[in-house]
Order: sequence, then structure tokens, then C-alpha cells
Amino acid sequence: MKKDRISHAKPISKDRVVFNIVAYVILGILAVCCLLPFLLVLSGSFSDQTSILTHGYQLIPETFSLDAYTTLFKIPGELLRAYAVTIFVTFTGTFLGLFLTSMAAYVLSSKSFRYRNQVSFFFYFTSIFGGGLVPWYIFNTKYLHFHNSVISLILPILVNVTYLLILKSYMSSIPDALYESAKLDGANDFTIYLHIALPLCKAGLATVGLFIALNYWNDWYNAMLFLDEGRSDLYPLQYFLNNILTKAQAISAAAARSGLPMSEVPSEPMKLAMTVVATGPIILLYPFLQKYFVKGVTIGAVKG
Amino acid sequence: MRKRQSLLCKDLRENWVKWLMILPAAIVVILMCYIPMGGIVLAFKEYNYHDGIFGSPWVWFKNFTYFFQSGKAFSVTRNTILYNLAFLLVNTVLQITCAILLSELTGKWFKRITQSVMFFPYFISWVVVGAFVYNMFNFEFGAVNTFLKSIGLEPIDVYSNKGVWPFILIGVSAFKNVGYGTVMYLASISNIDSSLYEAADLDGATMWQKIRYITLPGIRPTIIILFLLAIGTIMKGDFQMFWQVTGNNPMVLEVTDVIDTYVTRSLLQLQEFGMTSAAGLYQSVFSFLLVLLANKLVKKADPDYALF
Amino acid sequence: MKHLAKTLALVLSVVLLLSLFGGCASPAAADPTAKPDDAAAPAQQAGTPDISEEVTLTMYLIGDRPVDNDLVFEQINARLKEEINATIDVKFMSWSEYEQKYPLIFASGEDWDMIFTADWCFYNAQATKQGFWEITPEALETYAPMTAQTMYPEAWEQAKVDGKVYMLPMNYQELTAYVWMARGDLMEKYNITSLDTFDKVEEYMQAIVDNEPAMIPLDVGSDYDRQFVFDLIWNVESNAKGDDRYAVLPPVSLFTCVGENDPEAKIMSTLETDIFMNTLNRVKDWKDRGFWSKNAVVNTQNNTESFQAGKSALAVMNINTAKSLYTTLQAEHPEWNVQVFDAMNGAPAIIQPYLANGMSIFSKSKNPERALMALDYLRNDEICHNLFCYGIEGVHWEAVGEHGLKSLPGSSNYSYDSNCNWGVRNDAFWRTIEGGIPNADELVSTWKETARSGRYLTFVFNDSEVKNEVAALSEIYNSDYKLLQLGFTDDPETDVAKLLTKMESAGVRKLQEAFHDQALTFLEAHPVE
Repeated sequence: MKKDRISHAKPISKDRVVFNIVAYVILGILAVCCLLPFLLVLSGSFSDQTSILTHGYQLIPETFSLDAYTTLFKIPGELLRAYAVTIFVTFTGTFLGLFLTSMAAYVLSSKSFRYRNQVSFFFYFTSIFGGGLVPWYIFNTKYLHFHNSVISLILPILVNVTYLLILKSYMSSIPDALYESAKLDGANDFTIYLHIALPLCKAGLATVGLFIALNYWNDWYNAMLFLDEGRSDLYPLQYFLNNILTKAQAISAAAARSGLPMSEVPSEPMKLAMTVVATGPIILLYPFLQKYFVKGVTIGAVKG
Repeated sequence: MRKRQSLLCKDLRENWVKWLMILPAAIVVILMCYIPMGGIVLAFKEYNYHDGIFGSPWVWFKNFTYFFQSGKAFSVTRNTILYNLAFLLVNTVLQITCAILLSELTGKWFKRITQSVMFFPYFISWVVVGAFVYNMFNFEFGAVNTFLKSIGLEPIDVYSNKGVWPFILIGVSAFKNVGYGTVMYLASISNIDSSLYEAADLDGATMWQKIRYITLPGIRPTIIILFLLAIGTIMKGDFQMFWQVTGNNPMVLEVTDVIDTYVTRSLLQLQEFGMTSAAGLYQSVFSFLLVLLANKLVKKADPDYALF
Repeated sequence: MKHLAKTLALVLSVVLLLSLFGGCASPAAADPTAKPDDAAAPAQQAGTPDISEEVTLTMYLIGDRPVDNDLVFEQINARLKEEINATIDVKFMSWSEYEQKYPLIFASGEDWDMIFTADWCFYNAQATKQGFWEITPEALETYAPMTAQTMYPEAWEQAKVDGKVYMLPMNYQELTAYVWMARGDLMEKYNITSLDTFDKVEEYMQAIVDNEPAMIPLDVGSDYDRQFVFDLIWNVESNAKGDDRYAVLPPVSLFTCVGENDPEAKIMSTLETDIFMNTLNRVKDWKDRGFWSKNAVVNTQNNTESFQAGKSALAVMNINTAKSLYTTLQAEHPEWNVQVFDAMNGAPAIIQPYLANGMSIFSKSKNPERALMALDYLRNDEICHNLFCYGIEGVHWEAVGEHGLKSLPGSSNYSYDSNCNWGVRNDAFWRTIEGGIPNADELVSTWKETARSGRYLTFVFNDSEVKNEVAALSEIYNSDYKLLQLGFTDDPETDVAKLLTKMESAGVRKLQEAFHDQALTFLEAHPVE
């Protein structure tokens, strides 16, 4: 806010005019590039199979049809429940994940922590080496018994080491002096983390929180691995999307190979409609977080 | 040795709050990553269900040979690394540019809409992106060729033209990732102390000077950490992207094949877990060495920026 | 660096320690597997299975649960409960996930009993990894007496992996033969009356290329369309050689073949045969004339879908697909006057391997014997078989004569032959849907006359000694061979030569030796008459 006032108070300089023109043009082009495919998805979802197969994707659908959506919402309860599951998992996962990640990142960023490099390495190592799908799956199902429970949707992507290290780097830029003075006042590390580090790192938290939320929102893989068809009440939204996207190929492959009769194959518009449905409300999350990404306010604000 | 241990004990006693704060994340990582990591032994074994992971017979390096046998190991490794470097370079430049433009712009609504819109591609799955690409470049009915024909030009056959694929893939990767990555740099910019800009304004600095001398140095730690993290995944590839966007097209495989797609194609028939593990281990070891090197270099320059 | 080494050592020791925990636990978990085998022995000797204890068997099927699945299984279970004191609990694995999930449920330690399997659905891979319970002839006699009596001997032979059987293949003989589906209206327009020879097909497609710019004559799409087109032409070429015809050995992704009547069983790659060039030249000619898209190798849309959308004028498919598509198209586009023609050009129809569908028992099943008994009933008990395959009589279908049936409106909740019941299909009770393609009977009867099972029908390749070569060759198949199959080459001679060198360095000779040894052993057991 402070910054805005200053730039308004001054007469608009020439280089700012040039800058603004360049910025509007570049960002405008980029925005169109990003928006166009999404509009194609939207229009395609209101189209019918034949017109997509013969004319490809078009901005204005040749024929207008709600078929895809009526098929998707044939059993509305299913999709609504999936929405509920996804929203629940996203909220819980993001909150927990952000808490664990930021707490560890705070410690790793603090220069007074003697073992920060070693512990950072301990975390980082896992992002390079992994045991592979099978051992991981066996351990989770056979020993931890996570399958068919909501934990299997949350735990596997709860702590993302990459985000941990990014957050650590954001936190490193907080001047140590701020911590020191709090320490002299007798605050312990957890209090400092809660009352000083977190408020100072809002933009970083918003970023990492957004990424964690997107990961949870888009995750279908864990649901596919760990949920039996009997726990379809726990299916998240993206699982349905993925189901529809990949089913057609698998069915026609098997049908062609073995001469099996084709069962119901999802149509093109259905794939697109599901994309629209699955994108849904998460797209509205970003504008809420936007206020944390204003240039150069955070530290000044706290200081003041 | 004992001295070191006692140091650790002392630190545990003195800094127990800090250790406790790391503990939850560490437990998750141990459960989800370290314990299953024992499964790396599969790379040296011929797995069967009866004997399980640890009981299956050892075959040592046999699982690795298929990777080198068809003579493609070198070319797919090269492709993987080159693509990742290109993605890293192009995406980083675009992301930083967008972040700076967005942070300096004053038009509130334009900013808000642009930023939100830039996230849209992230939600379109690769299967759908692949279908779009096919729709655009299809020889007979693709949008590009329909356009070319309508203005009287010769149609082009993109799917048999090796030269264009690196550009298409780089473009598609940018399309998916620029909006997503921009946020990271935006956050980094907003961490820069605003008093620096105020001082610069008073000195009559131009926009360019402010960007050059305040913003760019300010986001340097973020650039470095993201670069280091990217090195760690340089041997992996976004499998879905390569598989779906190129349609696994044999005509251009020479320039589009990466390790993950190559391994998938080879093992479609066999479903051999040991062989999959072997390829994964090869990727891990290779990236690990690269990361150690890069980290060491960064540490030499400025220990604060190193990963570990 | 020193610090790092220390940390690395620390990390690794933690990993080792933790994996030891895992290691201690796994043999214990593997233990129960030994029991069923031990327990099986005395029961077998006794002759009559003990069914005093009621059990629930878990059966995995592939697909989505049909709406009326539970109703149908309620009736099946009533029958099974009465006969063998067991009930079946069905679990489904969706088409979109089976490729990933199938191997995992074997590894997971989950408790289940039976699963659908097939040569295209991991049979070999899981059998060699000891994922299936071995079905011995004794066990078959004891627990599945009906199956023991009715099983086709070839089917039993086919199911052998390393001499052991792990699957009950379907008891159903199916002819695979390709048909052309064409637009009657367009054929009339361009004055073409029939498509029973390649020449006429070419004429028809050429007419489309010349006159219908908005259409692609034959819009070859998925991997299987490609396989169909190539196979079709290959088979016709091969058949022209009469007794010297070739047999392509499974799996097709290794493109290995042998002279069918060659007592020496000389193994070669399809590329090395004298008919490969002819075949290649024809597909190349078709491709060059624009009969399919220049981008056919990346198209994922099936040629049947394209045909249905009116984008193409011809489609190739097997007869079963044609049956259902015909009915749909008659309703959607009666004006197209869809026609179906025999595409085989006199080449014999092939009896599909029985392994194309089957059921297996999990090696760690707690009740493998009872599972075998249940499968016996699903296959050979008319009540169970018909319920599983067609649904409830009077609700989902009604009988028409001895071998026909009519789908009732209720069948939208349980469609004919689509609940992954393919593994228990049985010729004795098999019924086909009435109606459909007018000349279907005529087509099938021609094929029945010429059909031959091929000497190597029951040959199964054991790849355990040559896994690396299989991987390398599969990769070549998926990259280079694929292109040739659709004629994508500017210079066939050079490209084939290049490919042969590439195969050489991938170890094709070692692979062929393995094939040769196994083929000779096979011939010994199945001598040339």
C-alpha cells in the first residue's frame, strides 16, 4: 500500500510508460495463450462427439449439447461426494502440510542450528533416491495398513521436500537480528516461529500453501492405488477425471486384442466436461492469495 | 568420533525445541521415503511374489543390461538432460520476467485477471493437451494446415519433422509451467525490503536500474535454490508430457525420447519390477552426483545458498 | 565433503536398519503361503473335497461394476452356497487402472482368491513371478471335475508355463477374422459392389481419395488398427505360400516367426522372410496413396470411432466388434446403408488362443481348492454360467432357440457378455445375440470351413532366460517396426536392412536361439504329421 501511494504521488516517468506498454503487451499475449485452450475445453464440453471427431476443437461449438454433463451428473451424489472429499483432503492436507513444512523449514533456516546442513541433506536425499513403487506400496498396505482410508489420500504427499527447501530459502532472508531480540526477551523457538517467522514469510507461505493445495486437488494417483472400488465414497474428484481420460484407451486396447465386446467408452466431450468440473473452485483460490504477493510490503509493514 | 557424538547430544539437549519441531516432518519422510527405500535392492534382484523383496534371488547387474543393450542409453540420457536444461532456462527466464512485470504493474484488475488466467493451463491434463496438439498439427485437418492452405501455402507435416519437436515441447512445457512458477518469484520479490525501493526512488533511479540492482539481486537466492533443485531431477522427465504430447511418435523418437518413455516402451511386455528399479537407480545416482557437484560449487561461492 | 560423507553414512545406516525391520517382517508374512499347499495334499488324496466350513471367496474382475452386478451375484451365490458352501465377493478394478493395479495386488499381501487373467492381461508375467496357484491335473480332477471333463486339451496345453498350468482358459473357441465395414451409400455412388478382394478395396479407397476431400478412406488410429491392417495383409501373403506358410509366434511384439511345417523349426524375424517386402510394399502403397493419415502413428482415435463419426469411409475390425457397431450404426445412420465384407481374402480364419481369456487363483489364497470349485461351477454349471455371462433370465435377456438370445430393456444394467465374464465362457452354453449383420452367418460359415488352428497355436514362449533381449526387441517393435507396419518408409530396402543391423546388436540371435530350442521341444511333443 505504502509503495502504491508513493508511485502515485510522483509524476509518471517516461520509462514507466514504456515499461507499462511492454508489460501489458507481454502479459496480455501470455494470458490469451493460457486462456484459449481453456476456452476450447469449455466449448468442446458443450459439443457432441461427432462434431469433435470431424471438425476438431472449436471456439464456438458447431452443435450445442449438454449430453456430456447430463451423463456426468447422472448420479449427482457421486460427483458431489467427490467434491466434498477433495475439498476436505485439500483443506486438511494443506493445513497440516504447511504446518509441518514451515516448522521444519524455520529450524533449517536458522543459522544457530548447528546441524542444519545435515538435516537438510537428510530431507533432500529422499527427493533423489526412492525405493520404487512396489516396495512403497507393499510397506503402506502391508505394514501401515493405509489402504482404503482417507489417510492414504493425505499422508503420501504431506511433506514435499522441494517445497520444504524453497520455504527454507524464503525464511533465510529474514534478518537474524529479529530472532535475536525475541530470544533476549525469553521467547523459545516455537514462539519465535509462530509470532515472528510466520508473519514475516506470508508470501512464501502463500506460495507453498498454494502448491500443496494444488497437489492435493490434482492428486488421483494415491486414490487409484489405495482405494478399492468398495471405498468409492472416498474417491476424490480427479480420480473420476482420470478414470474418464484413460479408460477409453484401455478399453479399446483390450477389446481389439481379444475381441471383447466394447463396453461404454467415454466420449470426447465427456473428457472435456470432466476437466471443467474437476478444475472447478480451485481456480478461485488464487485471487484470495493474491494480496500476499504485493511487492515489498512485508518486512516494512512488520517493522512499522 | 566420541567428541562428535557428545556434540550431537549436547545440541539435542540444548536445542530440543528445534529438534522437536523437525520431528513430525522427519517422521513422515522416514515412513514415506526412507523405509521403502530398502526396496532399492530390487534393482539387483529378480522379484517374485513368493519370496518377496528380500527373499527373491539376486541377479546383481543383470537388470541393468537391457538399458544399454539397444544402444539407446546414451541418446535418451542426452535428450533427458538437454530437455531439462532447456525447460529450466526458458521457464526460469519467462517466470522471472512475468513476476517482475506483474510486481511492477499498477493496474489492479488487469493484474488480478492475468495472474489467475496464467494458472489455467496447470489444470488441463496432459492427455487433453496431447489431444489439442494433435488437433493443431494434424496433417489433413489440423488447424495450422487448414490455415496455411487457406492462405495458399503448402501444408507442413509436423509429425515427421524432427527439427520442430524440441520447440514444441519447450513451448508446451512453458505453457503449463510459467504461471505456476511465476508465483514463486512473485513471493520472492515481495520479500525484498521496500525501503530499498524507496531509497532508489529518492535517488531518481529508473525502472530498469531498480530491476537490475534491487529486484534481480533480491531474488537470487530463490533462483539458485530452484536451480539446485532442478539439477536433482535432471534425469527424470515429465513422463506424461513426453508420452501424450508426442503421441509416442516413432518418427521423431530420436529427438523426443527420454529415459522414462524409453524404459516404459521396453518393459511394456515384461512387467519386470527389478528392471524398472534398475533404471530408476541409474537416474538417481547420476543426478545425485550432479547435485553434489553443483552444491559444492554454490557452497564455495556463498555457503548460505547451498542446499545442504 | 567430510561432513557430507558422515551424513551419508548416517542416512544409509538408518535406511539399512529400517529395511531390516521390513526384512524381518516379510518372511513371516510369506509363511502362510506354505500352508495351503501343505493342506491341499491330504485333501487331494482323500478324493472328496471337504466343504464343511463356509467360505467367502474374493474375485477380482476388470471393469466397472454393472448396476445389477450384486443382484446377479446374489443368485449365483445362492447356487454356490448350496453346492459348495461358498459365496463370491466380487471386486472390480477399473479399465483405467488395471495395468498399474493388477501387479500390485499380488504384492500387497491383501487377502483375495481369484482373478481374471489372459495372455494380454499379465498371465505370463504373473505366472513366472509365482503369482498364481498351480492347478495340477489331480487338483483339477478333485475340485473341478466338470472342467476336467470338458476342457479342450489344446487349451490346457496352451496354459502351461514351464510345464505348469496356472489358469483355467475359457472353454470357448473363437475365430478371429477381420472384416471391412464400409458405407453402402458411397459404394453405390462410386459403383463398387463388393470389397472381397484387395483390388476392390483399393478401388473404393481411391474413389474416396479422389472425390471426398473431407474424408480419410481408412482412418487407422490406435495400435490395434495398425496391427489389424498389417496382420491382414501379412496373412494373405503368407497363406499364398500354401504349406510353406509362416506362423508368427507369440508374443507379437517380438515379431518372430517360423515356417509352419518346417521340421527344423528355423526361427527368423518377420523382416527376414520372403513375404515381408511384399507386405511392406502394399502398406506403403496404401499409405502413399493417402488411404490413411500421414499422422496415423500418433492418432489415438480408433478407426471404428472415426467411421462412426462419418470421418472415414472404411474400417477394419474383428467380427465381434463389427456385430455391435453394425447395430448401433443401423440405428444412428440408416442412410449410410452400412455393409460388412470378409476381409480375409481366402486366408484362413485363426482360432483365437484360449488364453485370450481365463481365470486364475492367487498363489496366496487361503482357500485355493474352494476357489477352484467355484470356478468349476462358474464355467460348467449352466445356471451360474448364464447368470454371470448374460444376467438374469427374464430381466436382462430371454432365450431364443438353442443358441440365441435377445437382450431385454433391463440389459442396460447388466449387458450381455460384458461383466468380465470372458474367462468362463463355455461353448456348451454359449448364446449369441439375434439379429445384426445380415450376412454374418454366411461369413462365419466360410471361416469355419477354412479355419485352422495352426501348428504353433499352443506354443508359449518362456522368456525367463532372455529378458534383456525381450526388452530391447520390444523397444524396437514399439519404435521402428510400428512405422513399417503402416508403410512409413521412403526406402524400404535400406530401412529394413538398417533395422536388421539394429536387431542384431539388440541380441536378436540369442533370442532366436531361445525360440529355436523351445520350438524344437514343442515339435517333439506335437510332431508334424
